[in-house]
Amino acid sequence: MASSAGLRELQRDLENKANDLSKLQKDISKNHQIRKKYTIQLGENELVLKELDLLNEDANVYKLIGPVLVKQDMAEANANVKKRIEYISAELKRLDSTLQDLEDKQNNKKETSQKVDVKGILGPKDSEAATKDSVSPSRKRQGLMRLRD
Amino acid sequence: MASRTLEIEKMSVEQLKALKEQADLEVNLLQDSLNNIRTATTRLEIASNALQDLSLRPQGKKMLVPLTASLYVPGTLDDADKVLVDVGTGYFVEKTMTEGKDYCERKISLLKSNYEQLLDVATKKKSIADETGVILQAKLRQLAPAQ
Repeated sequence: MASSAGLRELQRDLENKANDLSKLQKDISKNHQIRKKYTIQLGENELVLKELDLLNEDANVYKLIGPVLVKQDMAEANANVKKRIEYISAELKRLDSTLQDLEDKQNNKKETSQKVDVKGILGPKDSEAATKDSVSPSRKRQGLMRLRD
Repeated sequence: MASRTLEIEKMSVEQLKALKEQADLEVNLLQDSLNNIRTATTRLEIASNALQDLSLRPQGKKMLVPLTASLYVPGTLDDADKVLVDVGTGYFVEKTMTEGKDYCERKISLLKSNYEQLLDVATKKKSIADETGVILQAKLRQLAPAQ
């Protein structure tokens, strides 16, 4: 009787850990989505900056505000795009550090849950999740292509 | 290549399944990207053709300007030498006709080189996915009689 109570305790413990783990995974994938968005924006902004650099000083630059085109100063446009690139880069760096954090936490959690796993309560389900995750970072690291023209 | 095959062969069925899933996912993603590049290239080619067409028209030429898909208003061509180019993120740059054409050509060649690079990656990924699939099938067949 005492052992079955212990078993239940262990199971609950494991369940909690699994929940935590899946929450972390959700956070990580959310992080990836945001990062993807920012990377695309960064690429687009860099293209714009390159294009602006190619122009003469006296070229006419317009900015689309709502449905109207507003004429803008060359220098202003340049500064604007540069600032945006700076901001996005900073944001990406921030996302990187949070991602690192989350991945560390995830690995910790995995280790602890695997320790419980060793005791032979829960087998295939957990180990499957572990192998899946060990493959995924390579996909995440793979750079995003710039698709915008 | 050979070492990779060996590595794959050492994997368990479960790992192989995960790897295959992963590789398939990546292949799909790359395929989507390739499609996106292709549509972007087509769009730029259309723009380039439109510019070419416009540059052939004389000033003061009468034309119908589309306001919506089904509503056209008459107008005259004022100045075909100045064009506005959308360079992205809401910025438009005034360019001359030749500069505009040049812009399109530049973007098209950029996209083409990107496309080729990406195609390379995609083919490699595809071969990995196929390889994994074959090995997985073989493993499963090996296991089947044992059961």
